[in-house]
Amino acid sequence: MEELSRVIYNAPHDIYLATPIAVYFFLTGISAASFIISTLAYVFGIERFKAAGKIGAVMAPIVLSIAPLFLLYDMLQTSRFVHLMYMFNFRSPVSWGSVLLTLYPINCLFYLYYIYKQNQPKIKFYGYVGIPLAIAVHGYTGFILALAKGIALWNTPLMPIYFLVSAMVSGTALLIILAIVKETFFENNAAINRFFPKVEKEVIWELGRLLAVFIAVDLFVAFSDVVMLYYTTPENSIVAKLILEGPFSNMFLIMEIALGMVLPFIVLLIPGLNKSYTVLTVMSVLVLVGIWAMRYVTVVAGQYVPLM
Amino acid sequence: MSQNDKHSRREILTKGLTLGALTLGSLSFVQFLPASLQSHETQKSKKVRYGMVIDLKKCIGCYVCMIACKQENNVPMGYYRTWMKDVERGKYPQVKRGIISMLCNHCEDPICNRNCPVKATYQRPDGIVLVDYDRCIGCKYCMVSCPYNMRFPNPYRRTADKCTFCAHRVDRGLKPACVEACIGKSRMFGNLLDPAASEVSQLIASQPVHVLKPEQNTKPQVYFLHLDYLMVEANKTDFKYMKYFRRRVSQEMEVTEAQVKDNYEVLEGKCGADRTYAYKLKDNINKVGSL
Repeated sequence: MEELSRVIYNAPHDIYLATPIAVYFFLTGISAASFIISTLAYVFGIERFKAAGKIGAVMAPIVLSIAPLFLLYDMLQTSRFVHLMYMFNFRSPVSWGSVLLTLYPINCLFYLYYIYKQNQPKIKFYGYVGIPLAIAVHGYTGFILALAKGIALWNTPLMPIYFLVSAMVSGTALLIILAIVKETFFENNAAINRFFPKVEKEVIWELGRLLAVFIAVDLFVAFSDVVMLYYTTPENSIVAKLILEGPFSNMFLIMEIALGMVLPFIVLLIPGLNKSYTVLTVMSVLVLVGIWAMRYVTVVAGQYVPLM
Repeated sequence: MSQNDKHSRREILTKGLTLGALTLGSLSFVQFLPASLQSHETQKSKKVRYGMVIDLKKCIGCYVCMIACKQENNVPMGYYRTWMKDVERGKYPQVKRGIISMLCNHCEDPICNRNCPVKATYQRPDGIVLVDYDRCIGCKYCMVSCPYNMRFPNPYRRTADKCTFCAHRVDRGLKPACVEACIGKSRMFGNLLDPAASEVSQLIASQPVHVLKPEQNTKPQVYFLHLDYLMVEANKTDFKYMKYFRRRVSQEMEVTEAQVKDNYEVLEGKCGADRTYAYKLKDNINKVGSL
């Protein structure tokens, strides 16, 4: 349709939440997913995942301790971060985060400690407590975006689910990379092998298949999100055009969908290729880059359309 | 007698000291309360609800409200608490130009208030939504929450900032600076709950009024007469244009020569009205650059 009106002058506005926030979402996602994968072995008793699960259990608190630094960097009044600790507003998802970001790493550390002590009942306890916490610590970031209701790209009930699914994708991918790096370069390193047992080839292949499943779910969620954007209200369809045809189309269609999801998904299903460590590593890196593009596009493209 | 006197004096002294200590203690406690609970001498009875009516037919587009607001509130260069959206509508023989005044809607159900993690944003009983600058941590979540883009990061104070309805003036019985300055009397301000005395409540009762984005369910309290929907929703499909809106800096204001040049390049070959925009953009960027 021909444009009926055009703006001659308007006040300029910033993109207020930018790269640091996208990095924060990316890192919490990896942390939550690696914790959940490690509970497959230690809580749900799938023995063959134990070696990989140990890597996940170490990854979770380390990655999560880096993530809030990006929030502090992005804050205008960094020294006032303590306000978050005693001035709560439980209607605000950011306030939920200040509780979750305190509880989750503590729980992760206890979980890790009892894994090394091999205290099975305690591991199970902190695992069961940790699963909802891990889902919450990443799910709440989805709510942060979803509850900013003026922004069409964010304000969808799919957002927390989209975030969680892509978190599982990125977490599995990083776990595969770390396991392969450990098996390839540090196979005979005694210091590392004392803490991390050998990750069997079959387990890494299975993680690859798991990655393909998560990618399939993520593709479906991304597809339903974009379809709903494209066919509903004017605000939504503008955002859909922005990510499908506009300045973010390269990042969304090529980096996120084509290279980050479709290509790895197909390659991971080809019988010969999905057992090569090189292919698995390359595909996992592509997936990580794709999920990073997803975080960036979601955060920045949402604010790109002027609201007034 | 004298001993008694002394005694009573000592009693009074001790009592006074305890009282003083208690008051000091309570005072220091009070500053940890959200500002909405702190006692304001300005808090009035619940029968006051400030609002604004903007008659866009009376607006001549002189931008004096923008200037008055900047003078009154010392708004930093490059940022606006109130601004004009200048819109051109239609195709060549039938062209119409319109202007929409934008300011914080002081919503009845403000999303910024709900989403602020430290309760720095609060609503006074008279409906004015304010930011407690000492509580604000600058997480910028309110800025993305506002469906009207009315908030901005104040680069000097380093907190969120927004229109206050000139609360300091209103408390002294004056009108907001933009209302006072408005030449065409397009902006009208008053108590919405007082139909006898205030012009605004009479206008809202008798005229067809509109608010911005009613679907956001925020219940805005700035009402518009003669609001053109096509102008409100103008030009959200031209991605090139969106570049102008979005100054891609979040914390520091830096505008380089290259950016200014880049903006001009995109503007080339557009309709004539763009030159007005370019002029204003250039003006704006010059101001920002000289900071």
